[in-house]
Amino acid sequence: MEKILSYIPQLLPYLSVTFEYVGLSLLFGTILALILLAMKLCRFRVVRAVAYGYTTVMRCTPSVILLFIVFYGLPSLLQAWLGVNIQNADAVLFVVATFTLFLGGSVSEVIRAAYLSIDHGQCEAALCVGLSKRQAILRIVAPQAFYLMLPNLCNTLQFLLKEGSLGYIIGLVDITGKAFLLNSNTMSAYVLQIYLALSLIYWPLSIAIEQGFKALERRFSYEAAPVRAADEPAVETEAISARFAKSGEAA
Amino acid sequence: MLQVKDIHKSFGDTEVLKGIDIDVEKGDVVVILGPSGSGKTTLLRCIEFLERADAGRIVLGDTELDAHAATKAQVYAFRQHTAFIFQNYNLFKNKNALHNITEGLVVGRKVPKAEAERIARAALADVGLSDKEASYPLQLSGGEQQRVGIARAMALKPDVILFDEPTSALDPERVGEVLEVMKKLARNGTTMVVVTHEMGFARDVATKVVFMEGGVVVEEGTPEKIFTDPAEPRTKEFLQRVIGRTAAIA
Amino acid sequence: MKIDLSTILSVFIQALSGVPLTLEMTIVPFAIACALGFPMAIVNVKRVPVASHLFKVFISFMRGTPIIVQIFLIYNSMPALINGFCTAAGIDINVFAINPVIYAITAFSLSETAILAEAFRAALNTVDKGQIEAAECVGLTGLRAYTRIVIPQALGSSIPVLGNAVCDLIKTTSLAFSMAILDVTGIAKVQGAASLDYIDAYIAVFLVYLILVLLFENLFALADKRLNAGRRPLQVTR
Repeated sequence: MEKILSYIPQLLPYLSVTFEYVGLSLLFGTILALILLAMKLCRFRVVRAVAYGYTTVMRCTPSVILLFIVFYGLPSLLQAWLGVNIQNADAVLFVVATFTLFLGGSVSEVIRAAYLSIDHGQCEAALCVGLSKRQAILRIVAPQAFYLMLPNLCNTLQFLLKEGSLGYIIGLVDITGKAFLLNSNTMSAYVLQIYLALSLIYWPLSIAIEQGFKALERRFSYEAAPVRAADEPAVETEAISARFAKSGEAA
Repeated sequence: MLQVKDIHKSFGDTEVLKGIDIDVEKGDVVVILGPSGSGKTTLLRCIEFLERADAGRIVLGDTELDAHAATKAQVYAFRQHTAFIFQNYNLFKNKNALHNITEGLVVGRKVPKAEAERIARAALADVGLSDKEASYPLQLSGGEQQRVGIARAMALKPDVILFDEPTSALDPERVGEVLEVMKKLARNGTTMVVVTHEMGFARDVATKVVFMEGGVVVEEGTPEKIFTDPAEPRTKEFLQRVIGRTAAIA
Repeated sequence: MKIDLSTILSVFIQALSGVPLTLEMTIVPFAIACALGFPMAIVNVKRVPVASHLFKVFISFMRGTPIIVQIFLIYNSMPALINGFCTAAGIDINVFAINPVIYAITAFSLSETAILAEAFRAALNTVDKGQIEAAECVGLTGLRAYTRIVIPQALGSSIPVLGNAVCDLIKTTSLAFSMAILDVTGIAKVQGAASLDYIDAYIAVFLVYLILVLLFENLFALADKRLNAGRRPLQVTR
């Protein structure tokens, strides 16, 4: 047991790398998601089709596969198009690129679902009291949509934390990468202890994210029924809505 | 003051409005009656440009708008002079009662915040909900929400207020409190166009009653005329059905 | 950057031979997870004293840690456990000859059980309380009301979530390559290394997964439509 605990301090410093790619992926992923969202709401069917096609592809691809494709493909792509050589780039770049692509698809669907579930009457009333369409969306619809998105954002963050661990495969030294290295160095003599120590870091982090979002939901609720009940997890609804509400795409 | 001329509207293959003409004078309380599916709500929504009519003209004061082709700017300007009351209230869920009212004033009409709050408080007092100014819509009953909705409309000092079945979503006990507010508005000379099933309100408060069925105006006239001696058989039939039922309950 | 379509095609065909293994590592854990997860969900909903607390800790751990870490833990502990168990029980076994797929299935089963237990719990909680009240009014007592009214409705409403879980599991099985398993991803790794053309190999494999996931998505959507047709409100067109 002490052995397990002794590994934790050895891994913790690398948490900064984990937070780094989680944060950057969120940032760029959200930007991409907003672009895709705009495309999904566009008038032209071709543009919409491309955006929905992208979301579908991202939804059906395992993280590992996309990671490999980005890792092996991005250098040659950038070399051919922009003449940029990133052969020696830090693994973080590839991890962030991979998850940015992923998040673009899933987060755009989350935002779209939340936006669509806001009663149309809210927007109508806003227009009737004299707001412009832009003001109506920014001041009335968007805040309500944000609140509805919180459980799904919680899921997204937890997903990012856990799937990001796969970065070790391409040499990323975050907490999982470090654990992998420690294990190799000790010839797998302490493999269980190392990985249990790793679990003991991930587990509380996941719980902290969950609690953090619940606090956010409480803070932002309009003194109304919360988006989810006290002890209920956020079930992965955005992919579900994407999978089973295909009729919405034609709208 | 408000004239609706020859409004046509179809949804797909169904023609819902087949050429509606309505005249509203300043201070009028026009009540539109009719069976469901007669197009009453659609007409009201077309007037406020929440739906786009297929053809027709809408005249408010000196301004005439093409009901179909009006530009965004024209509609925006039109809405500065009108207000709309929804059947399901449509209060802004993320704002409390006071801010629901100030929103249109501050953001839509550039009224300074302090002035807007003063106007909002006065409006809330007028509908008897001063103590609820910090409450959110989800904390209010249906009747309270609708009264806030009316306060929101009143605060904008519109030329005409359009009511789309304001009491249809309310419990019977709550209907009364909303009707009281509407009667008060009428007494104060507010120009109102009301789509409703509340016959009592129509009989007691309306200055003009319009009976619609199947997308056309069947008959219109003063409440006395319509309720005691309607000219058209369809009007008679409708009134008998509705009043007969309510008379049986009374 | 050159993309060689013929390489993609050949790896694609090779990868198809890994599909049965991928499906095995999806369907078996999923079945086990349904069988274990549903009772677990009921225990959690009913808040059975000791069991529900243990289960909740289990679920929290499985959902809070990355699956790859769980795979490492299982892969590195199960052989020893099996060895110890067999020695104690007197069974003669060569631990090294055990197919690693067993470990994969174990890891995925445990993980999926936790996920489905939560999904079923959500579904059970969403069944309208009025349903139980109505059931009791017509004479169905506690247990019968539960089994005849609540559980069927919970199962029916979980179909979308289950479909989601299966599709996620198909993608998760791609991590089995870390246990030297030659499933779809394993084959891609081998082929990529052999031809030194990693990009095409992984593009081919991404296509395989795309097809698999879309297939199951549509299967579940169909099942959902068929089974839940009576429960969705009719689409009224204005």
